[in-house]
Amino acid sequence: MVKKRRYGFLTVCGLLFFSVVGLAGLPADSLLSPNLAKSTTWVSLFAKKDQERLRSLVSALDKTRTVMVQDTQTAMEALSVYGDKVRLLEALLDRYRFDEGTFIKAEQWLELPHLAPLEAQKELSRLKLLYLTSARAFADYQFGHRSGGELITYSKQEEILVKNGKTLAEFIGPRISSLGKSALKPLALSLASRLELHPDCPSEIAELALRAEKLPSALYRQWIIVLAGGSPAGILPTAFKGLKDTAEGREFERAITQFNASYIQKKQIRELLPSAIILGLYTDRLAQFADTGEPIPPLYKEFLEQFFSSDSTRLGKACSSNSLFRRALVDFLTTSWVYGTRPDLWQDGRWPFGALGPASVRAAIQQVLAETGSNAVSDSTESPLSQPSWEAVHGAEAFVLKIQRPQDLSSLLSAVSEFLLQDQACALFLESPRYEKDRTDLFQKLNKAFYQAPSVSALVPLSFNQAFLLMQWQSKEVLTPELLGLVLQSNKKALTKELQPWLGTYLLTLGPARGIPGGLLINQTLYGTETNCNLFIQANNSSLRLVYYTNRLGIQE
Amino acid sequence: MKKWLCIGLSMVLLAGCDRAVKKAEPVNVEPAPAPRPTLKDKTDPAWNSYGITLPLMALSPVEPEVTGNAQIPSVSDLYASLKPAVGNRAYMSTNQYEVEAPNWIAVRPLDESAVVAEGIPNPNELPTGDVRAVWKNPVNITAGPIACLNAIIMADSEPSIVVLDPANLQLIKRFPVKGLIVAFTGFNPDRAELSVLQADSHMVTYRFLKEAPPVSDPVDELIGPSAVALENIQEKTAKLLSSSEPVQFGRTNLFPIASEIDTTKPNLFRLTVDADGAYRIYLDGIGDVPFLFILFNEAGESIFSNVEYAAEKVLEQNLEKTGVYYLVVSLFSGNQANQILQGRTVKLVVKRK
Repeated sequence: MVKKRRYGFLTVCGLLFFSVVGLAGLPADSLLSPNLAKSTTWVSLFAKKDQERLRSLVSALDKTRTVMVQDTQTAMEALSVYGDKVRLLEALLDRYRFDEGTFIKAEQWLELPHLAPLEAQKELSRLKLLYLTSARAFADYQFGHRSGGELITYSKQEEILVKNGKTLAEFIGPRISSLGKSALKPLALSLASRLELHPDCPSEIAELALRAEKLPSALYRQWIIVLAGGSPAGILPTAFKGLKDTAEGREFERAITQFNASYIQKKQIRELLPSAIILGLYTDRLAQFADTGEPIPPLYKEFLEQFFSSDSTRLGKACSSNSLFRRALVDFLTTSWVYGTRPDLWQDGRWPFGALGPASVRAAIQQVLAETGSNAVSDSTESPLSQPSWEAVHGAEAFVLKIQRPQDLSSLLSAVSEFLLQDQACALFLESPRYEKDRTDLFQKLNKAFYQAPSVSALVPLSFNQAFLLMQWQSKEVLTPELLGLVLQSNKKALTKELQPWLGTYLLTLGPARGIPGGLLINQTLYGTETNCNLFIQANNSSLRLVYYTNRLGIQE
Repeated sequence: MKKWLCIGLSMVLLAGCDRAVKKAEPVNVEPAPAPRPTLKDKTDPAWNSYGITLPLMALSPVEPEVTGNAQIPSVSDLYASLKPAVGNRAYMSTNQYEVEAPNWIAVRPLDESAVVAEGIPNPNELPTGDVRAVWKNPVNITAGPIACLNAIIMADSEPSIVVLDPANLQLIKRFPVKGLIVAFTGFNPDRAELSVLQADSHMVTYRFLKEAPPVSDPVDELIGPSAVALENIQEKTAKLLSSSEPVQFGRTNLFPIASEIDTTKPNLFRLTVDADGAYRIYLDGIGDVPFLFILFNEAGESIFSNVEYAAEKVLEQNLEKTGVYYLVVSLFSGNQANQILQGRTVKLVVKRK
């Protein structure tokens, strides 16, 4: 009965979630769609003799773009895998490297290849190098796929796309000069939908397409020719003639300028991936941890200047395309903050930002916090304890009774998983001194069950995994490698990445205790709401390791 | 922020003694009638020392006292003057307290033997003797020290505020804090308040207290009973149980979510009902074991008990929908009831008549 009710509740939540996501992801007034991107029905606009040629030109463009999309996807997945491997190995070495027996046991539990700590350290260095090389190639558009032993880079594909686009534009141009707006609309929308699929195309294309519908015919035809170019790089005010002549044209020009700024930022932000890894290498050197002794590549001055002067809303938007970027953003911002606020790190060549001094870094991040209104995040998140509702108290009381009874693990996990959905009641249970003993008992039970499991994969079903994460709540420590392994595994399959309130509490405890503003960990503007597993994973990463080592820097026995 | 805080901040740069301390008039604790001016028994905020005895029972964050129109220094200004804690000093009497390594502080005597000038010597300029005591911390010291007559105060990256004995640098107390402290920005000896800058850019003021503030739990407060009512309930229960010891209840059970009786000790339930009317209150599974029922109103005034006139097994009572009741359920000690009931579940039942 209870289960039924729970699944019913989850279904409703799921439906709500998808309807919200659906609405947010596809604006109701968007004229573009993936179906339109496949359409070629508009060829009937053209003379019969031109139709075949048109189809082949468009198909060439489509093919190139599809390869670009696939290559980007593959590269991001590879980066994500490297990132996860690196984080897990780092956590293992961090925690157990001085105890080989426990290290090997944990490796087995996490179903990782058997390596002694020294070998693992070498493997980590190797992985980091690969990770950095891949991230660098990704940032520089030098990734791609192999064909006949030759690497066909994304850059090369873009060149082909632009070349083919130019041919298409030149072919279409003279043939639409006598056609009116309404006739051309299917062509415009189809080409804009195609452009929207380009990996570097900012989401503003939808708005641009909407505005284009208001343009006078002459400009509308120019818009189609620009779209036929196939690349978002070609969407520039200079590609149009007579934009300033009408109010609609001027408005459109503003929108194009905005679009182009987003396009440039979207390209520039790719540098964040290698930069975050490089900053992590500085932390490694500081901690004498997995340091290869090789010189660390410098952070690009231009990127740093641009990054630290970026409007934070734009920054968040530029990183919103993939959790890879969001993780890098959390990492880069928090690590930069630690460097900027711990004077112990400014000495002896430990400063990684070159000419950009600590004051500039601090000022920029404080600006980010101020802009996103999250400086007071820890103050504004009022404790649910301040005014508990009877409903929440009843929920917490009922849960306490349920977990007091002796029961098998799966019933316990089921009860906990179900309870985690009752945010208010769960918060009371976690924070009220009334339940202190119950909490300790529960965490002990979970801890025992967790470490008694034969391996990490034995801990599924997934819905129970968050119950184990609850153990972390009272800790001011980073995740254990075992829990991190579980989160990484869950994250691959998790549908919802929303942050549960108790996860927020954990992060807001962990952050300030390590000197990291809560607003850099929980920040909707910067990271969206997709912050659950991401942040948990990130909470294990370089900024906190950096703090850990800073807090022990120069310690004398 | 108070004016002294600002002056204190400028002192950081001037004195180079600590990152931020309050500047105020020197406090002369016991002017020594020495023939030659000496630092003995002297403290001075400029040396990060205060002639006060600090209450050390508890530490609690407080709203800082704001007086006048003193400007609040911006956090970035504070960061600009940050430096590692190593080298931070406090002088008190003829002692120098110095963070000599990231994780340790040492006390050395000041050597006044060569002082010839008139007036109190500047401790910064005096030679020091051998280390008299050292305190080593497992993590870095991040702020301090400030010396009081009974305490050397520092912050570390635990994060905590640590208090050491000025005489021998033994650890007296460690107060865990929520945020990592990177600088002390002010100390108010009159209010025993320490203002700090956290690494996460928050500024917090802590007050040292003579006694620990009572732990309040809003959930317990909501469920009740109030402190006064509880006292009445305890008194009445002790009386009816003929107990010379004060009766202690565990947490108040919320009926009907919780209905099971712990037969080893007195139980306290909070009762509410959905509708006005007559109710039968009894224990399921108790058998013939005698027990005590006392019903109280919200104020802790006894309404009815099952033992005052005749030992009854069922309590019949009119209850109101709007009323809040507290019910004590207890077995009497000394009649082996626990053994009889071993393994049995005894439950409270409240039923509409």
